[in-house]
Amino acid sequence: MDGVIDLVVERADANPERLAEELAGLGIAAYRGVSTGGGRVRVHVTPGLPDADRAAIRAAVARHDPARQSHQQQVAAARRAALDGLRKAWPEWTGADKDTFLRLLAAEWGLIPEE
Amino acid sequence: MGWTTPRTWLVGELVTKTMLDTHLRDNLMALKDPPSAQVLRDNAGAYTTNSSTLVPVDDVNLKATLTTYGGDVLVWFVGTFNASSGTNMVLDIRVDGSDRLGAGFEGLVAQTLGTAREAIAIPPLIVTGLDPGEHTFELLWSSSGATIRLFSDTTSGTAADNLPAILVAREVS
Repeated sequence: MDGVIDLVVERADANPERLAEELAGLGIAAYRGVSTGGGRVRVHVTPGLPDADRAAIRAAVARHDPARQSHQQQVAAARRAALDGLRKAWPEWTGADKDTFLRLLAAEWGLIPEE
Repeated sequence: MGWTTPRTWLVGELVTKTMLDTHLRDNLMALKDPPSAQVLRDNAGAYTTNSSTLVPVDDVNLKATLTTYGGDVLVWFVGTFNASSGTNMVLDIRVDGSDRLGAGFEGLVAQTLGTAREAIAIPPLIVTGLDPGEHTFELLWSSSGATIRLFSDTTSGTAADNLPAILVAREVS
């Protein structure tokens, strides 16, 4: 579409966020994104993709492990775990708990991004 | 029954059963039951993309195909979306595999998405200038960065995910 072609791989079990990270990490200039659904992974690239890049993309899709989380998913999981740790009565909160709460709040408000 | 351009009747002309069937009965039936295609897509899971360029959501299954008699076509879409983090989504509709209805614009509809689910529609649009014959209408989407999801799943254990993606096209006179 509008100068983009698809590399199609039959695969139904992708973790889209992780796969997008992995494909972006290849550093291929022609890469425009990835779509999933209908039992297929479609990697969108501009035409004229060198064979080596094409092979690298197909290899990345083949070795993709959907059980592995993306960086953003790991951050979200850590945030959920931290919040779970704060679900207790106020007198039980330690100084570290309050630091954690402030860190989560600052990230939630966009003041200090979570690493 | 298909549509036939109505006959211009002549003074003193003998009107036959064939003429009446073709120009009255069949045309009325064609008007009553115009060519239509409605896709309520169950993908058994969400569609996703992070494509920065408009691409089809599913060029096989989320595509409305109908054979028209040369009239205009009304087309529209509705679905439920979210994103893995804040991002801008653009939607468009492609006709016959090449022409975007939103050509000249970024797309037909844009929406800033977050993790909360939102029902988003492309309202009914009239597509003109189509020759008689088969025509296809496909949903296109793009993202400004994060992965976006279109829910299309009857098998999910999460009730909020159990929603079809709906694409409709119908010839109108």
